[in-house]
Amino acid sequence: MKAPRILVPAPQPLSRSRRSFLRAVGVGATALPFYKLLEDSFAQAAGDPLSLKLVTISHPHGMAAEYWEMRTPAQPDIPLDGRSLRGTDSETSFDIKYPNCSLQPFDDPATYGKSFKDRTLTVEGLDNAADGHDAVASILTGSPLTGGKPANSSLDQFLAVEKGLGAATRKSNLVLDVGMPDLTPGHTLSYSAGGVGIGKIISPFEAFDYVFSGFVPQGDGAGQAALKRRSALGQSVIDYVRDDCNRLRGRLAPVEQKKMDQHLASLRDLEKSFGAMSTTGPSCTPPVRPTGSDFPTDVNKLRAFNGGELTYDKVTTFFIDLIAQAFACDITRFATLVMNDLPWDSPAGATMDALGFGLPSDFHNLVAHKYQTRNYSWEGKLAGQGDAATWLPLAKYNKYVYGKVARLMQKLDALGALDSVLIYVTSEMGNPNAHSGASVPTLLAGGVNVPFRFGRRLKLSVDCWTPNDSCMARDPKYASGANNHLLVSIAQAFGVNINSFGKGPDSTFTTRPLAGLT
Amino acid sequence: MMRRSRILVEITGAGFALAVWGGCVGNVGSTSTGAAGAGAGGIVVSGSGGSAGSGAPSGSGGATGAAGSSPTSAYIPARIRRLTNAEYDASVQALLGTGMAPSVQFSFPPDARQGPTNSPAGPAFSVNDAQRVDPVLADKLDTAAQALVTEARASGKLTALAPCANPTSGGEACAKTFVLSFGAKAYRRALTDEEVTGLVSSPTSVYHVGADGYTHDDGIDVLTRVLLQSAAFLYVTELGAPGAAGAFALTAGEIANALAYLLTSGPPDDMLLANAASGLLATPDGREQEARRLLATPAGRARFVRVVREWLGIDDVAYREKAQSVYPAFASVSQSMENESRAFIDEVLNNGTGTLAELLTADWTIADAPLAAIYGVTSAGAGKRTSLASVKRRGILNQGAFLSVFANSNSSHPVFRGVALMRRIACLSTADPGALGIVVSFPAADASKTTRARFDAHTADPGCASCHTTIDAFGFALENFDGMGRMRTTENNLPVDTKVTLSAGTDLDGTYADSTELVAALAGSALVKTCLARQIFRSSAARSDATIESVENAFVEIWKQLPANQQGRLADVLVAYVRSSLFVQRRTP
Repeated sequence: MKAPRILVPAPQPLSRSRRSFLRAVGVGATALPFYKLLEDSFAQAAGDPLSLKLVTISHPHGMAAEYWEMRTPAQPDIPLDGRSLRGTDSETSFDIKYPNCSLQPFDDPATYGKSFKDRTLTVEGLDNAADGHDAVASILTGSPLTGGKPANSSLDQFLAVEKGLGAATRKSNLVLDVGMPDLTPGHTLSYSAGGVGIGKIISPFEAFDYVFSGFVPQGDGAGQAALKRRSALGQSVIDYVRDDCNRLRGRLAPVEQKKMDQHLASLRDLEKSFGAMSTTGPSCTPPVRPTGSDFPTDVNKLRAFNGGELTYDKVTTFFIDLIAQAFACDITRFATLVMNDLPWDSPAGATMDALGFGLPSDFHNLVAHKYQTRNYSWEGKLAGQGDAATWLPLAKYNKYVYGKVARLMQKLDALGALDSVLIYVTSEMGNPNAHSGASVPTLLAGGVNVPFRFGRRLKLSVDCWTPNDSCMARDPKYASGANNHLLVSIAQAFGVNINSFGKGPDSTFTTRPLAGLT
Repeated sequence: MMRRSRILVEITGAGFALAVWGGCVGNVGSTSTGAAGAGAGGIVVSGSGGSAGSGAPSGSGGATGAAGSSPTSAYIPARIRRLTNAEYDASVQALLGTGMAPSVQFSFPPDARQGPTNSPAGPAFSVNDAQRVDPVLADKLDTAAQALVTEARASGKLTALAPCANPTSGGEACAKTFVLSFGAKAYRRALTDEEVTGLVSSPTSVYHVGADGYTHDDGIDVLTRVLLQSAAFLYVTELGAPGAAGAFALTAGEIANALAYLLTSGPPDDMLLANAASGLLATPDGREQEARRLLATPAGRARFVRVVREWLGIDDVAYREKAQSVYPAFASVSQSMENESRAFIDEVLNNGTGTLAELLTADWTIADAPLAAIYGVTSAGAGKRTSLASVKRRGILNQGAFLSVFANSNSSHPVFRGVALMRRIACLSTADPGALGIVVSFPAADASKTTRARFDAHTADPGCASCHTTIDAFGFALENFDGMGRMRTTENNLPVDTKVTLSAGTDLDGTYADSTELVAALAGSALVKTCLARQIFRSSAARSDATIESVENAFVEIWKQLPANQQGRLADVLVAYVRSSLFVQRRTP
């Protein structure tokens, strides 16, 4: 049987400026460690658009569908806030300003400077490869979990490290988490080859230093000299340790060599941090380092269940701003951020709801697990309308999350960096009360250089709607809804020509890009 | 593969309605950490497959072979293993005499673990040969190395380690001496010529980049910084002599390193190195002698305590939080619970019988006054055994740490506890709902029921019962302890029922009135003792997946040859592993 023809977008050809750079330095130069960095500088100076950047944000506990999903004429006519879940939304014409809509921040110029409605793309009906809290580990890996471990690397690491798209920047990628440093699957988005979790930064100080340390203004003579010495010493460290790793690698069986490969990749990042910081982005003035009056300096005080809850909001905002700055300065092109719940059961004596949303402080039990949406019979008939009183509390948190995303877009835009950024926002679960990974809330946002058609809302035609007692997301008939297809689309958008990603019951789950994005 | 339908069970205040196709409701926990979800099933090597999901008993293993003549596939594959954070700290402390614990001070990413896993504790063991150096860790290793050098330079330690009569003209020779001695200690083996060249001799060597145009001390500083980040320092090798292939023995140096890290989580001391050089470690008796010596050291004792805490999943109890509205007393005793675990395990292993039975059934503990008050007894004082004879609380599974970790933030959790007992204590495999395509929903709290009554939906529904009859039975026996381990006879003004019947086809089958009877049965069970052997193996072998199954089974066969009174004694089990060929033989992967 003939293999089906698979249409993939042609790889982005080298721009004219990059070709002329290559001609000037010769093919042999491409092996040098800083080649990509120099090529990028040259290309950008010649006016090429910046390389694409990807930031993935996960937010816990799913979505209140009633304040998120499209209000199309096909929706059930369930009353809500004096309106109905049934409306007139279509793919290209939709309302996200209705009362309590969680997507409001994307159409709120008063708060965020402009409307980003034309820059967003929501997708309803994508399914995660796992269920429950641990499924954060599946979001970017597209893999079910065995012993809490995904089978393969996450897309960000795949692109940044394995495919080398992060080679040109000082840091190949930036991995952040609010409050939870442990490499548990429920709080880890980024995985290296073979499904080994990548260490996360939870401290604003460490995150700042990771991105910005080593920056010395050009005019500071003594600082520049010290920087030069630091660089020389650091480089000698790298050179020796790299040789050391290569020597050891030579003694290892292939399955063990992966460990050295990861180590060598990590050394490449460290190496770049020893180099002089050059600002190649369109707008790079490093921000001021936070101080002890901004955040507790003891990193343990930022941890969940150790007093960290009251810092979550501020840390999240800081990380959002840092990602924007890191992208604008082209210090990295890949970032992941795992958000956390709102303050959980504040310590005795503190205010119950530090953000003033009027939510109970035990968000997990009293909001996420109280959520009752409508349900359908096995014949597909509406069986119950759910409990409207449980929708708004969850939607408030959803809107809070999207407010941070809108802020990220605002900051990137102000720095002139939004054009080349793709933002992927999702949750490990769709319906949090069901702990279900079906129909997770997918939001894509991005600039004009990202080859997706934004300003639309997509609803997959074949959708596993939960809670429906005859719907199982891992059924072959729902294979077209696996979020693996989105991961393939993103890879292709970044110029990496794969046609499958992750792991699934069969190849219909993992193969082909997601239709309708481009 | 059998398709399991899944349902959402809607719980109303009055009860619940099961939808047409049946399915399973599960209370999957309320902590807002990611770990609260159904942790995916570990591949529990228990003789049965990992995904059957029934309460299948652990088999007796497949590999044959008496101790010392196992087939090749029953050797651990050759490998390297990155030091755990604790091992890294111990190693730099031994090298430099520093009091710093860099992995803590610079918040290294937590160890990625392996071994039996269940919510909310996650996988058990920090010693894990899958660990890697990722970018954040590489960055911190360099930061830590620089800080250690700064400290050692300021204190005079580096001068003492690298004396130089004539630094101006004889610097390189001094540096070479330093590298050959200190470097050998750091690498835990002699350096090769290539390494010495790269470090010292070549004009572009690390030493010369540091010293030329600067000072000899600068050269030593950067050398130290490099040595502390070398692959040879960060990874323990199990590769044999150069050219080793097929099935082969570790080198004498590798055996010394393996013994040291296994028994003390730190590098070999001088006596161990001397015994390696003399060939003593090539013999089982020699290894036993050193093992028992090391077990008695402070580092040895601390390491064993850590492994037991990791095995039981209780090592981070002090980081847990409970709902203020339900368990306001927890925050002030969680540290006491951690202290209790450490002191109790250490006391059993070093001053008691050192047996699993005592760990599980001791009628005493070591608890400070606040914790003793929670238990309803009076503390005997710091470090002293507090009697529990007057209360129905026995052994480590009835201590605050275990009961609090495997619970919700605001209630007990029979499923967490049941799965912990099954996977960690009895090595009974049970699949996670996610692996079976079952999506669990969360039943609302119900003030008109006990926790047990709420969970009874499991056994009422045939789709759930196949797993949960067993899981919940284990968990219900502990229902006389609430979510922070306090004893209770009523819940919501209803009597607490702890009577359970196990019938999973194992030697634990029977009826038990309460947890005291259950832990007594656990202590006497052959199934549980065999599981102990497996867990000790996994924590020692740094791996517990399918690639090591035959080795683990081979160890179980070896362990079975021990006299009965040694099979349950933790140190003897560990020594049996160290004595065996499995400890020193490897095979090409």
